[in-house]
Order: sequence, then structure tokens, then C-alpha cells
Amino acid sequence: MRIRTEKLTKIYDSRTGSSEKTIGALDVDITLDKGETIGLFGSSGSGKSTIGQMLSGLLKPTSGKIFYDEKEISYPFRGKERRNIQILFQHPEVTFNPALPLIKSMVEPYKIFNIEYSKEILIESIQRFGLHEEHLLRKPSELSGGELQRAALSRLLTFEPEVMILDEPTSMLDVISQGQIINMLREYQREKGASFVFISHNRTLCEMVCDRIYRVEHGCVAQETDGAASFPEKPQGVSQ
Amino acid sequence: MRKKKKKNLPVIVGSVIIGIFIVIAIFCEQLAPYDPAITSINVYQRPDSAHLLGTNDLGQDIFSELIYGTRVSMLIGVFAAVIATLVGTTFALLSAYYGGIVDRLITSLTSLAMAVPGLALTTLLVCYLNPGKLSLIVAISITSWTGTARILRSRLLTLMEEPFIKIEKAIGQKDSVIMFKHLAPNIKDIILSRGAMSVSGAMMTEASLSFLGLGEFGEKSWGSILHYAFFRNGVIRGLYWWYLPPIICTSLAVLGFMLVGYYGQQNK
Repeated sequence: MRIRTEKLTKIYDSRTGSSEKTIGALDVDITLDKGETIGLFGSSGSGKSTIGQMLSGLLKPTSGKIFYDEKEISYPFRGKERRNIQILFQHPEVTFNPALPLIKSMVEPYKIFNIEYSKEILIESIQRFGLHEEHLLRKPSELSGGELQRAALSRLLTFEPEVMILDEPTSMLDVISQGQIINMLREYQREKGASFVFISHNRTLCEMVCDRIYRVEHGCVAQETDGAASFPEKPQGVSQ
Repeated sequence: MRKKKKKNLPVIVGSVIIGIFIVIAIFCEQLAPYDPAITSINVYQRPDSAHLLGTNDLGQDIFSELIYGTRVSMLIGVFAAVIATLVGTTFALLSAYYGGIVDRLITSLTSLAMAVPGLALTTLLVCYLNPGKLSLIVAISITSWTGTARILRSRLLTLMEEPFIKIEKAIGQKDSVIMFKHLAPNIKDIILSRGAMSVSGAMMTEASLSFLGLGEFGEKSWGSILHYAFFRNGVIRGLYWWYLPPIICTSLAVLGFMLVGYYGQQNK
């Protein structure tokens, strides 16, 4: 079992100032095996991104536990876990620092984890994703969404993560770029046996990509069996 | 297609003014016709071809004093502004990045520093610190970082919500690198324009202090020239060539920095 969560819960304070709480995620129990792709499927605002951000250590859970290889990990992630769990976001335009040329963002993984690199290695790694040396010298605003998402993926794969949280990685892209990204991810999974958490509101894509699908509704998660999910009863005294 | 860059006239005018003053400040030995410290028996002379702006009570050439004063005024103004901007930026970064208790502490400190009357505190500090350029710079910058810190903090708070900052955290980037390499470059234009505004503020404060007689002793700044002009009843006796030029110079320099600071920000 690569990742397992136990009653993972995130409750936001309501911004209206009342004592009411808003549920981001409630008692989430999900499991993720090695080499597996699970889907988190739900409508907008259902809390799937909240779960994704907690799994990637960007958001502190209100309660509950996350286990990585059966070892409990806590927010904020450090060291090995920080490197092994990576997240790919929905909007490629805001993935990179807009003030810096792409190359400065691209060399960061090497610098952070003291991986040796040269310009040749960097160029080779982006050429696998259909980008050229010239792209590296541009600012993010001078590249297209598809190019940026491929660059983002290339940067993430430098870490050789074992778990990747894919937060709607293709929803902002055209059909061709979507296919490219999905194929690249599949190839990486075959090579390294990585596990993916695929977050999407696109039913067809979810079914195509995922081994198992969890449906998310109002922060509650239930595993689907034959397209039907049974949700636990709504808790009392908490608005959604 | 790259957009054609629009000409920003106020910024150009401001830069030209600043540029001229910087050139005067650097080359004042070559530009000044006399050594401003040398006294002579020709006191209170009216402007003529030998002394463009006449002489003062000690027979010193006012034009040369003015040129040398540029260096003192600019030096103190620029350095005080650099320190104030650095302090303000650092506080804003810490405050916005860490949030929580750090943010509350820094915000209260900023509010506290803003509530203290600036010129009064600066005057007090100058009185008790050792006289000299350095203590003037310290005293001026201690009270002038607050505005920068507050404006940058609010801008940084919106920047903190940008996904690329979250991603930098997710890939395990160091806090200091995120702050100074990823956050700071994105507010570069505001930092620069706030810096230019700080220079004008610092020059005004310096002029006020010098006018009160709390300025640099060895070298005269524009404020000090004014101080002596008033002290020797220059206004009552109508010696306008003595008290007007430093006023015009200070106003022009402040205007230059203001134009760059104010319109440089709006062009974005």
C-alpha cells in the first residue's frame, strides 16, 4: 500500500464570520497501491482538490492521518516524502514564476535535491516532451498552455516521484495536448511503477485512465462499485 | 507580436532630472568654480560673473556650495531610501510568507511605527546619536520603512495565493529562496517605485532636519544652506539668490523622484 488515509478531514472556518463551519473533506479513507491509478471524481466544489492538496502536503488536515508506505507522515512534508509525492496543477499558465525565464524554474529540482545537472541533461529532458532549447529562454507568458504543462510535467518527473497527484491536469488543454500528457504519464507509470491520483470532473477521461474511481460529494468519499457509490449519512450541525 | 512600448513622459522627465542631479553629485569637484569651504572678505556679494549666485556671510561662493550640497543631499536621500526599502521589503516578505503570529507582530509593529510622528522621532534620534551622515541615514530610515512594508505586504498576500508559489512549496523549495527569488521579482516594479518615492521623502526629511540645524556639520547640504540663509536674515534682507536656489533644487529633485515613483507604477 503506497498511500492510505484514515479519517482525513478538513474543515474551513466560514468566511461569513458565523460559527458555522464549511466542510472541505470529511472522514476520507482512500487507498492507493503501487503502480495504480485512482480517480477522484466529483462536481466542482465537492472537495476533490482539497483532498489532493492534503495528500500532497500543501494543506494541513484538521484531523486524520496519512500513511506513506505504512509510515505516518504529517504536514508539512520533509525530505523523502517531499520528493516522492508531487502535484500537477490544473492551470499551466500559473505553474511557473512569471518573472523568471523558464530555465530558472526548470533547474530548481536539481538544485534543491543536489542532483548533478548540465545544460545538455536539461535539454534532453525537455526534448522528450517535445520542447526545444529555445523554449527554455522564454518567459512563461510567451509559451502556450500545452507547452507549459509539458514543461511542468518534465520538471516534476525530474524528482522521479512515486506518487503524483494530478489535479485536473488536462482540463485547460486542447484534445491533442490532453492525449500527449496522458500518454507521457502512462509511459512514466509503466517505467517506474508510480502511482497516480487523478482528480477530474470529466467522467469519460476518469474511466479511461483510472483503475478505480472514488466519487467525491460534499467532502465525502465513497468508492464506486459498478458505477454506484454509497455515501455515509450527512453529519448533523454542520453546513456544507 | 510584442506590443509597442508606450512612452511614459513623466517618467522620462523625472529620470532626466534625477540624471542631471546624479551627474552634478558625482562631478561636483570639476563643476564647482570654487572650494565651498574657503572663506573670503567678499561677504554678502550680489550675483555677478565671478560669483554666479553671490557669496554668503563668510564670503563663500553660494553656487559652489549648492553644487557640493547636491552630493550630500543625494547621498543621504538615496541611502536612507535604500535602507528603508530593504527593511520594508524584508518585513513585508516575512509577514506575508509566514502569516499567523509573525504577520500579526509585524503588522502591529508597522502600525505602531506609523502612529509615531515621524519628524519628531527623527529629530530626537539625531539629537542623541553621534552627529554625522550615518546617524542621519539611520534616523531617517527608521521612520520611513512603514509605508513600503504595508503596501508590499498587501500585494504579496495576493501573490501568495498564486499556484506557482504553492508548487514551489510542493517541490520542497527553501523558504528564503521562495521569498527572494520567486516573490520579490514579481513585485520588482512596486519596490522600485516605492524606493523612488522613499528617496523624495528622505530628501525632504533631510532638508527639514538640516534647516533646523540638525544636519551634517562638516559638509553643507541644501537644507543647511537654507538654515544659514535664514539664520543670517537672508529673507528679510531680500537676498533671494541665497535662499531660493536650495529651495528650487530640493523641490526639483523631489519632483524628479516623485514622477518616476508615481508614474513608473501606473505604467504597469
